Amino acid sequence: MSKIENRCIAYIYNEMDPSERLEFERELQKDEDLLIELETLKRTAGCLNGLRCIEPPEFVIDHVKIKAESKTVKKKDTVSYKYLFASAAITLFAVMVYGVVILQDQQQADSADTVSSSTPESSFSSVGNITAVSVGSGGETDEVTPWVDHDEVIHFHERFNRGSVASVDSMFNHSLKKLTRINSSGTVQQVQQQIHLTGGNR
Amino acid sequence: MRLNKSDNIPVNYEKMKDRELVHLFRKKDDQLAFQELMNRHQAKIYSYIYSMIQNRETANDIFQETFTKVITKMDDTYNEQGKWIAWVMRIAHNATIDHIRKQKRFVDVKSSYDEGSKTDFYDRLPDEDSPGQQEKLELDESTSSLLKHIANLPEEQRTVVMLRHYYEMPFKEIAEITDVSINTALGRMRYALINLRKMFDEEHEKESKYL
Repeated sequence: MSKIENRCIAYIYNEMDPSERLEFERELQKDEDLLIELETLKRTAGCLNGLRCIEPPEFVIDHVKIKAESKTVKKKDTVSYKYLFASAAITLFAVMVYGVVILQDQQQADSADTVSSSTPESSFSSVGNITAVSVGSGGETDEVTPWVDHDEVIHFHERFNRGSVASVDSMFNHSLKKLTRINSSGTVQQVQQQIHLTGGNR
Repeated sequence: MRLNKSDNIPVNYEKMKDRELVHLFRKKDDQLAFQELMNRHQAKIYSYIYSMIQNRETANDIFQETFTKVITKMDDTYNEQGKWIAWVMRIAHNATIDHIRKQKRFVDVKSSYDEGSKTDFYDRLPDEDSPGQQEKLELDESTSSLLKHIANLPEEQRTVVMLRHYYEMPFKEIAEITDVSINTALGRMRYALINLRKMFDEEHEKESKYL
């Protein structure tokens, strides 16, 4: 396939930049055969101008429009379903959280009742390594359960009445008893453990 | 807002570019924007399909198939950077070529290449239903006569002629759509024009004989 002949097509259909066009026109002046071919191709290309557009039938257009509309409706349905699912999930989550809170409150109330009936005064009971401290004051009993976080820090907190300061002190002293003296400095370097005691008198 | 009488499409839609209309349809599901796009391009797309297939029923089916794909793929596949119509034409072209190849697959004969016309058996084979065998569209004489000749062109030459004629598509884009080099696309156009010239001449000869 000759490139120069293909350039006739590019020339006829105005797909040459000005410099290419100028160069091609110079070649045309030199080459008579090329000029004849160009003219023949141009005439035939001109005949194609008689080719008119053909309109598609109305029912075909209507069918396409219906498809476009149904796509929009489907899209809207999908979006509304998404909102529905999201709101249902949020509601379910809220109900579950509320249920857990209620359950925990009830369990705390039950355990407080049990402790108050068995030990009317302050007492310590060991559960594993963690000590539960029961504080009784004027018929009101609370159980303080310390817990250890991921940094190995013991936490305990509870509301105390002003009158139960002695109980808090005893709990503090009990905690102090658990602390052991470090005799060897080498042990400290090898094993790095910390105990933080936190508490408040609120 | 003033409306276009024929389709109830607001006049400002007519001034919008294809890209803006596509954006409206994609993001806001604006049906009027889609209708305006249809109004602009439906005849050219249908003409391309019909000129390749030369059968009304099949052209209707392929036209619908094309737009079904356009509607469903517009959200995922179409990149708004490119020309929308070039993307649609690629879909129409692929659907048309798929149909032509499906039809040819059922023919159980050996292909034979003819040096003279640079075509093989499949190229010379009339499509599923050539004009005259089936119900034809009511076309003006010149269009009807030209389509008859174009139908006799090999498929790849016909494709280039139609894409160029109906879309004034640059040969670079035609080359991209048909997966060939630009030089091949130019060459196919040139052969198509040479073949058409021969057909016109033969027709003139026949007519002069009868006169």
